[in-house]
Amino acid sequence: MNGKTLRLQLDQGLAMSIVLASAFALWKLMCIITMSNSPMVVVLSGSMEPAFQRGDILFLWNREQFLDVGDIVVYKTSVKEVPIVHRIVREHIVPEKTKKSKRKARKNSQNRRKTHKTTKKLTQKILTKGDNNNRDDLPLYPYGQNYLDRKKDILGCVKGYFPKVGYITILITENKYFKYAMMGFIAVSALFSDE
Amino acid sequence: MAKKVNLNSAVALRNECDQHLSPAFSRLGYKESFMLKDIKLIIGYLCVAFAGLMYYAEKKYKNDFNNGQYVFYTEVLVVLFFGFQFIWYLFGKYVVKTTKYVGIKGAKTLKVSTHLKSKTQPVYYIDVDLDGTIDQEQIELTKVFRETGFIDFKIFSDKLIGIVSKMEKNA
Repeated sequence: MNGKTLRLQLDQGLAMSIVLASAFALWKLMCIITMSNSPMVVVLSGSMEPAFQRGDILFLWNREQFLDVGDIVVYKTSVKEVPIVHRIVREHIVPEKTKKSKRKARKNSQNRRKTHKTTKKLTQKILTKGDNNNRDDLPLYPYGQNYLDRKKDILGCVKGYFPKVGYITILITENKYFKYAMMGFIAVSALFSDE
Repeated sequence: MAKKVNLNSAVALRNECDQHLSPAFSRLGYKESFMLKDIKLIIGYLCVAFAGLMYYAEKKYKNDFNNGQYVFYTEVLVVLFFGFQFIWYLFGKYVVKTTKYVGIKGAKTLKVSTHLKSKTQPVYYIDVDLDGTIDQEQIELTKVFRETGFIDFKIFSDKLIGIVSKMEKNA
């Protein structure tokens, strides 16, 4: 293989890689801007009807420290792999319990002395409910957890949406024939492209 | 080296001619320089490497945006990726442009750019830059390809050699 052929193949490889790399980097840029590890989600169920329908794409924002009752949030817990989109019905702002403060509090409670370094960090506990559901989301949370933690469980607050556009994602995930048809279409269009 | 091309596709004819620029100019003693191509490849693959590092960081830190270190690394890699991609784009647009061949013979540098004005017109436009002197010529692709679909290398290279030899004499 001579130098020219090698460069040609590297060029072709680069053309394909840069497309994938750019898509991934753009996703990461959106993650950084929104401070959410999933800045866009697709609604998979009808639990938030009539506000959001199945197939709607939601845009999330996660830079606010505290959220309000009435905000629509996307959250994920250890028992549910799929993110859930529901509305906040109750929230509490409480002091954050760190390991350091817990250890100190235990020590000080034994000596019945107040620690001169109190934890000033606050966190928010949130209870959610789907608009189209009869009751709140407590059965969806992990056993023993009565509220969601703002920092650990919330992926972001919904700031905007595109109706129905995400249905293609649902079809690709749920319908294997549609997935193969899409791949076939992309392959055929690549074959018939001029360049 | 020559391959059969679709005579109805001006783009395919152009690409085949571009492939034969190097052997044509080597008849005049020019050795092809890959410096521009190599620089563009290096910048491009650096961008891909940054994206790879982003992926690695995502797997290592489990995509946890509460981790300040992970957020910092991702921010730096995103900035580096888009910065280098912008440089890659500018390099391709303003330095490489439509240059298809760069040849060196002693102290002389020959740069050849080619393009088609229209995908329906089989006319091959060549801009030859010999040490700053630019000449624009055109070749009718129907005259350098045989009916079988293969390039007639002798006719093609003779036309190119004629263009460059004339420039070398006038220089």
